[in-house]
Amino acid sequence: MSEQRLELKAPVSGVVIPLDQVPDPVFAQKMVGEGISIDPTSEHLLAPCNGKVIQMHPAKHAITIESEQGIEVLMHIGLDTVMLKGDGFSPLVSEGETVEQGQPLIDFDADKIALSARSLMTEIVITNGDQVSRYQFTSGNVVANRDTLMTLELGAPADTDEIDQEGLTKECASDWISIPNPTGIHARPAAALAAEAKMFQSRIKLERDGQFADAKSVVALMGLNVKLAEKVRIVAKGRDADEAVDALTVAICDGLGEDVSTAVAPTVQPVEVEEEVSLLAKVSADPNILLGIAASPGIAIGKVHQLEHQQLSYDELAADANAERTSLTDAIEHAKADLKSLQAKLQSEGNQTNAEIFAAHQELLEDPAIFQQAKKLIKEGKSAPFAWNKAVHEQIKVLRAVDSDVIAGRVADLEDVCTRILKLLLGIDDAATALAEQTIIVAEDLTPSDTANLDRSKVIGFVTTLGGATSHAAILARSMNLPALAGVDPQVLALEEGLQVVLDGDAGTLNIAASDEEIAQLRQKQQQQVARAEQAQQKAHEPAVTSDGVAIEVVANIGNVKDAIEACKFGAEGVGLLRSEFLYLDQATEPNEDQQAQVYTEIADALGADKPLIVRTLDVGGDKPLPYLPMPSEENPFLGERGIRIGLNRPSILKRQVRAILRAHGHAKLKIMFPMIATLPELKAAKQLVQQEAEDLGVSGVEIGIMVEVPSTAVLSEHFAAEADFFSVGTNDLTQYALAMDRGHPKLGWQVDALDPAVLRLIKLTVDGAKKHGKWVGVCGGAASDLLAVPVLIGLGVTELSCSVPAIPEVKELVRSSSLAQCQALAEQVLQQPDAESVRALLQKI
Amino acid sequence: MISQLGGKSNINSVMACATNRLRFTLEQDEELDVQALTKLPCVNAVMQPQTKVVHLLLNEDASPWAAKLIAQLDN
Repeated sequence: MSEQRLELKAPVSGVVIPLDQVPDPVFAQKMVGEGISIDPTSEHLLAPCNGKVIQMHPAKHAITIESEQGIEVLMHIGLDTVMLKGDGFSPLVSEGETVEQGQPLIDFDADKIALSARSLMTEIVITNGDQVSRYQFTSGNVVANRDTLMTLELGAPADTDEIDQEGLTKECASDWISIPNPTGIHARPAAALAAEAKMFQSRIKLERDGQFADAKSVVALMGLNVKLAEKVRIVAKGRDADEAVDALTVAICDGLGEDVSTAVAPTVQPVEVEEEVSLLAKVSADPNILLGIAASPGIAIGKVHQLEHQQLSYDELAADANAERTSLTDAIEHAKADLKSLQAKLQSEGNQTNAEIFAAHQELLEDPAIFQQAKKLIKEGKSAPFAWNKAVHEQIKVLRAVDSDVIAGRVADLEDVCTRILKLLLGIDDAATALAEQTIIVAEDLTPSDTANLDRSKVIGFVTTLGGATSHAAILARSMNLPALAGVDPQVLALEEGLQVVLDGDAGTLNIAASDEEIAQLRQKQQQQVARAEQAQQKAHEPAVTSDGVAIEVVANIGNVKDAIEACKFGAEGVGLLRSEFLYLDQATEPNEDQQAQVYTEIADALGADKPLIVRTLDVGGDKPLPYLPMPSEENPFLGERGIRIGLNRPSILKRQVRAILRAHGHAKLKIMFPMIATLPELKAAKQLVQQEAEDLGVSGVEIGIMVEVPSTAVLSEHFAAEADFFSVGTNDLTQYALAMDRGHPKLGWQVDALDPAVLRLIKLTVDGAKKHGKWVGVCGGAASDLLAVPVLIGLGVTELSCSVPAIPEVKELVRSSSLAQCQALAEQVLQQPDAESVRALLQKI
Repeated sequence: MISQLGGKSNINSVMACATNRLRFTLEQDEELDVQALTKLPCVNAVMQPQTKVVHLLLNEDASPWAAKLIAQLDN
């Protein structure tokens, strides 16, 4: 038995106070371990001995050093200082670093901490005291690094090797126990468990889901972060392993000193819920026609190609940890290079959105947390694929707990990245399989990597069983101008490779057994569509006047300067909606008045002095926060501080934007439009701001209008019409708020239909109220670009349509081929319909 | 105690903090008599974390002391 001594120098200067006099029971009762405390008069925490930093608390007020002999020294500055979240602490070292005695570890601002924390008393505690046989403490005042604070006599050195040690030692494990503690194994129960474990000689570990912690170490137990209802077990190795397992099992079940009787009974493993068919599900009458959600318009006649996702299999354990670690590092580097070139390729093709997805994937590969976790698992004997997969999915588990669209997107990215690395590790090559001409891709869903590998020249459409109109596949299809269906019956995955099918992205159907006749008809329809589009483009610059002489203003929805120029080419008579967010998003600071004025002027110049340019003021919300506009998280961002509400609550931002818009007036007919107006006081307040700034700048003649998105505006339109110069209906959001359905919702999105008669009646109400004060009503939502809806809108009394740029020529042509009288008659009929389906059935007959 | 901190006029504020500390903000540091302060029975140590700020580390709760001092200084 070797006698060893460890001398710890005082890490700070000050007054030595025995641990049991510290005003905190966790320390005072030696639950964390034996030790001493110092009331400091210096502001630098120095290393008390040579060793390695094995833990630095994220709040930077506590650090654990492992001495050369394996003694763990925890130094905890102050009491309740974890609440300061690092404010007042400056760490000078990081986890894993080797340090020398006297080396500064953490600097702290004593005055700041004294003013905000409960105490400055700094505890120095040995957390693996089972290795210490005797403690000797100093008293009185000490000077940092000069005076010895405590001397430890080390007991018989414990095996520091892991459990796999040969010998006459018993190994024993308990059953899996579900943790009953409401807040899991935090400091108090950890201390209780460790105290109990230390009474046994065996090496004892607590296991949770493949992760282990030394049960005699409070720090290690807390680091495991075990939560309520998680399953753990005790694994012990040594002479008294049996007794240890029994005693600790009882201790854990009893709650480790906490009252667990009131804890919510842990829910059993989630029950397997059978997938049910919704009562609303549309069943196809014809077995040859599969129904889905129209995710991207157009018709495609092509051959099925089933995109299969391979099942990847690999061993859990591996013999050579170093080799595994190397292959993982190599795979990651390889992947990063692949992603970089994919990103470059997409950028050169002008596909910025998708290029950014791969930039994001590269970032994910740089995430140290996942890599560290994977390395740790490899060290524990897991194979590289197993370790990587586990590490990524642990991250995913954490993210899934957060309920947000943004996070959901990130989960999808993580899955994609995970698969990419796994394929590299397993040597699976994703070379683009040769596709037939005119291929229609069929899959459960499409990941960005899937689509990057597709031969674009051969693909003419997409069919997925998952997702909706806003899924990745749908967005991709729209950006490629290819028809797509989403949410299709899973039987589509069983279709034969090469089968000829007809995809109707407008009707939302997939015909799997179209007769030659039907196909011929559809090809003809396709050709007609193309011819019509060409004809419309030729007449695009002519005004859109109905056959009975009523002029309808057709303008564009744009999001930047480039769009403005494009819009003019497609025959736009102005801009009915400039989404001003592009000036604010992806910027580090808010754009100032001059910068904004310059951009608005540039856009106005692209249009011309006699053209309208309606600028919608900043329309963002809690779902898309800006870095310079911190917003407290909201439970319901779509019902929260968004649109004009932000401008009203932060008038300086609204003022800057309004002034910039006013300054551009003259270069075009500038008009200001407020989003998300719900009440008249909101409009009045915003209008007053505009009038003040207009007066200040000496600008006159700028019209002020409002978006109609919130139903209250439509219902009370006559009152709003007294104050506003015009209305523009945002049909997408109006439908969302009228039906109380999230239009991005995977299960509900398909029902958020602007042709719902409820929405159409709201538009009628808007027009009626506006008429009383001689004001006009336009539509800038998706319905304005929908050829099916346009006649109805005109019939309801809408006189301005702000469309997506590519839709403008055909919308104008449609106006020319309609008469107002006809449209009015149609609108009257439509308003009588009870639901969206009946409306569509009626309109499709025309 | 007050005289060892430089007298009433030298003390701008006093408060109890961190359970056992008296925190003073002073007009000038020069008047401080650290040795004498440390000799006081209730004082364990003296700390000057910043210019014109002094902490007296007491061996007991600082609040009653702060109350008494504030009363005295106001007179």
